[in-house]
Amino acid sequence: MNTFQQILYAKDERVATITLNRPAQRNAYSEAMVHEILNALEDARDDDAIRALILTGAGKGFCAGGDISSDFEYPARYRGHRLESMLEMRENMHQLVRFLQRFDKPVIAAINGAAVAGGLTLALCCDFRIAAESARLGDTSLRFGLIPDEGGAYLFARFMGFDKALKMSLLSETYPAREAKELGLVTEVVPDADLMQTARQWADRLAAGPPLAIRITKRMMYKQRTMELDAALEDAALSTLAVNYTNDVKEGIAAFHEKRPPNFKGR
Amino acid sequence: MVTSQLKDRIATLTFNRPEKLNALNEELIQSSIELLKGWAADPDVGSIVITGSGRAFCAGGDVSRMGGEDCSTLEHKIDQLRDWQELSWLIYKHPKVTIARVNGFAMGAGLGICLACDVRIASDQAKFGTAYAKVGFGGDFGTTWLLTQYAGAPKAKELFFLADPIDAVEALRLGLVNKVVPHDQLDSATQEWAARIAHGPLISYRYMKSNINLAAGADFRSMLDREAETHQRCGQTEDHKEGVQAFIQKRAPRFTGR
Repeated sequence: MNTFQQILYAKDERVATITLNRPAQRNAYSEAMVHEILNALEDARDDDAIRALILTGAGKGFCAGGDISSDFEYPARYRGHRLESMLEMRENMHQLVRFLQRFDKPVIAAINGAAVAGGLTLALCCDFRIAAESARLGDTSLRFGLIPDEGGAYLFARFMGFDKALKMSLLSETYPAREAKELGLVTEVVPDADLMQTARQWADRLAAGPPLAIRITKRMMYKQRTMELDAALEDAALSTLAVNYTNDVKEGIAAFHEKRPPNFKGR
Repeated sequence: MVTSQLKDRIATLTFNRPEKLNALNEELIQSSIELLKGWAADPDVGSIVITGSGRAFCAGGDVSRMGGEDCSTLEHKIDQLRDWQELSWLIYKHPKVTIARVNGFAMGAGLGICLACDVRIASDQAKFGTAYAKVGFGGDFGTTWLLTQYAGAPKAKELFFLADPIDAVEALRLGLVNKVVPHDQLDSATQEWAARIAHGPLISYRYMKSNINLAAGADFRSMLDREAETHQRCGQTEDHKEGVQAFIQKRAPRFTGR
């Protein structure tokens, strides 16, 4: 766990925090950084003590997207084979996008600064986005002649609506945090000085909830987006088998009657 | 738990736990996933053969370790199975063509891994079965989707409910395997297909494979559009130019995978 070079990973009580840590590059992601994030996410997933996760950036930026500064076009190991180099992204950033979409514990992006292009996609893969009011969000891919290929073309329109997403990507626009909130890219905007404290408060509230029910509710809501009603209802019925007979339900009902906060254990 | 070999552009992954009929465990699965990921990005790999040592291709989950008391939570079990099932997904979506060399039993999860490959060449001694109903399980590693796709829902239900193993000839009749050969010809038959594909136009194969996979969930119009993109993209490869030249010059093409 001390082997991380490009991120910081900390666990404090029931909350894990991943901090992208390449501030000189505005936390642009490298292949190595993505691997480290995946390793940290796997640890957070497998640790029963961890009930919520915060993703943030060190320094001035949240994440500037893919690092286009070094060995960008076709990494030497592919020896000019485009077929293989095309896959590199799939094996890395795409894997991270998929992992986050299937990660059942709640994830909060604490957007401390610019979240652009792939960095915006990364933020949209989290469940909630809390932004510092000085942060800017948008898609700058086309400024470099590149395209929103990490999943942005899919995600942007789903958060903002189609025409707004098209306008952002085709005109390479970025927006201040408050405008980004109106556009649907951000859940909440807070003064810069309050960012981490607010993110932690959200995480603590989520961590105090019934872990199994939170996990299964999140999973249901993500997967049911692509289901018909009948399939979604069947999925809900199946999910109750895992939740309704747990001690957490007994505890929740007891706490309600005893007028005290519940102490959920996830069992 | 597994052995691997890369020879003449053919990569071979062999499940190597013959005393347990190559039943799956963490190490076998993770080693397989690592190898397959490496081969995805390795220009020296042209095709992939997946097989088992001994009497089985893969007998599925390790039943000798089921049913005991364990302290693992339901969530951990679900997360672990999701991780393990990445093997089926990786094989199915792999950019290189995957060939199952079915040397013996392909049961349960082993059937899923076998069906996730692009093509299957079976020994006449191979046996296929879902096996889940025998131990009160429900189906994993893609067997549900793959059997329904390949054999159709009614047959898939029969294979799941009754869990009777079927032999290679029946599997061929159902469309579950591409070819059945006498056991002593399994190596040569597999080698022949693997070598032809390994030296073929790899970029074309990659798009053909992903197009056919996409067709399982797409409509005709979308696939026409997809073909327009991928066909013309293949047309820009060196292999396409070489193929055309070879045709004009009436000689065999020498593809390089570029």
